[in-house]
Amino acid sequence: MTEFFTFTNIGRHFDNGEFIQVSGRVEPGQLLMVRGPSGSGKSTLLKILARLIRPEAGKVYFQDRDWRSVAPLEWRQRVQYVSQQPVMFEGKVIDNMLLPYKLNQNKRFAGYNLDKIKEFFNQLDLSANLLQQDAQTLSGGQAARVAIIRALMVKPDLLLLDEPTAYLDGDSSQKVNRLMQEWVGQGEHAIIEVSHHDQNVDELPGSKILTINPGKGESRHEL
Amino acid sequence: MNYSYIPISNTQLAMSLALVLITGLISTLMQLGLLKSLLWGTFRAFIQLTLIGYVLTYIFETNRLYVIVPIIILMTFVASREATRRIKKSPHNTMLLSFLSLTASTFIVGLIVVRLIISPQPWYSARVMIPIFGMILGNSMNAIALSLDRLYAEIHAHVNEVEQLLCLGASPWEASREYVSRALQAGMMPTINSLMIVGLVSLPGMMTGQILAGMNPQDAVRYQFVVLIMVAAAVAIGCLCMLGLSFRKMFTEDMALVEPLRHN
Repeated sequence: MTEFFTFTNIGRHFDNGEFIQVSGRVEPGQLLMVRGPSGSGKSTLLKILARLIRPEAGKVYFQDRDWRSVAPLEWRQRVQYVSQQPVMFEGKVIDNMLLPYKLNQNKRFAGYNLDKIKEFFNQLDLSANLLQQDAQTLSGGQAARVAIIRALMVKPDLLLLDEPTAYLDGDSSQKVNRLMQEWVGQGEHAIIEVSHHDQNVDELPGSKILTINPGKGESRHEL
Repeated sequence: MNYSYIPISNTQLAMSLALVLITGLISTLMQLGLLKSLLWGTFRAFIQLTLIGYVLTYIFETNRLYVIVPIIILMTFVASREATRRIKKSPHNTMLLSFLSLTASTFIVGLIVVRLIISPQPWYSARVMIPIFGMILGNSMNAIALSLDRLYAEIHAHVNEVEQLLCLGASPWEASREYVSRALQAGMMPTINSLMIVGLVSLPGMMTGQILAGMNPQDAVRYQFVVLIMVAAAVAIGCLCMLGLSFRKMFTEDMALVEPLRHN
């Protein structure tokens, strides 16, 4: 059976000289929650998996393919990363939503579905009128939700979320979590999410928790 | 009207030192601590200019291509070192790239100007080539330093934006185009400004020199115009080459920013 997404002994030295290695696996329909104290390398792990940072050790397999054999652009379409600090670019919110379709490299996308965007907006308690608003005027919480929807519109297989609810109040957090559970629940996609919070992952069957608890010197963490 | 060159005698040269002494005296009286550096600067300028006077006399009299070209290459080397010496946060060795860019801009523009526009006899006249190539190098050097410094500063300040665009499927060029463009504008700004204000605010040094040396102002203007256009072209080519070469070194084969650029 093909394994969907596996990372093995992904390792990197940190500024304090510590060497941390992490292994994990996620299958379609699963959410992998990465937990650990500040500075334990959770965000770095996501950036490594997004291929923004190179690890010093370790391998990643995506549908049994070594990640180095997947072209970066294909990787970025199939593995979407949403950073902790959502970035909104110049222009209206709709321009930001359509940005992935405007980039030359993404010409393979046949087109976008405005109704789908509006549906996601509705699910996350964002008014459709917001689409015509200047993206720079969004609040932190609105920008965080828009960034998640923008990533979903790229139709990735795997979503890497770095503290998606950090800027959100309780109600909005719940809505984001519900949307994520629905999306994963379709059984075709997976999520690896970094979180400081003790979220209840029991609601989604098959969810797993990977805890990074670095000691001194070298440490290994596996599911 | 008769324009003639007025030579400066040794006595007249010595008299110019009075200006330094006056400034030095004021500095001493006001305890500004300027005297030492002022005297050292004056001494160095005198020695350097005297030496270059002799060197240029020798080169102009010999007027051989095999002497002129190595000198220009040496000048390019020194300029490329100067252009990148103060660049902070550089993710790679910029001096080689700077040397390549300066060589390209200087030789392309310099040879066009010398061979096709001024066309002295012989075409490689040292009297024309050395000052022309020197002016191109001096201006391109400053422009390259400005643009490169700006490029790295922009990328450092916008790591999140660049990485977000990459994640959304942008090519490295798409992700950094805006910052490369800002860097190019920063490098070109002094040259564009000088094109705008020339003759209104100041007379350029070369034109002033030619007028003092007895040239008809209208002829001096022609020369100056060629020089301004030549400098603008060389600066643009130099900056484009430098930014193009540096841009390629900013990204890894994974289409991600290289490590030194990611760290603030």
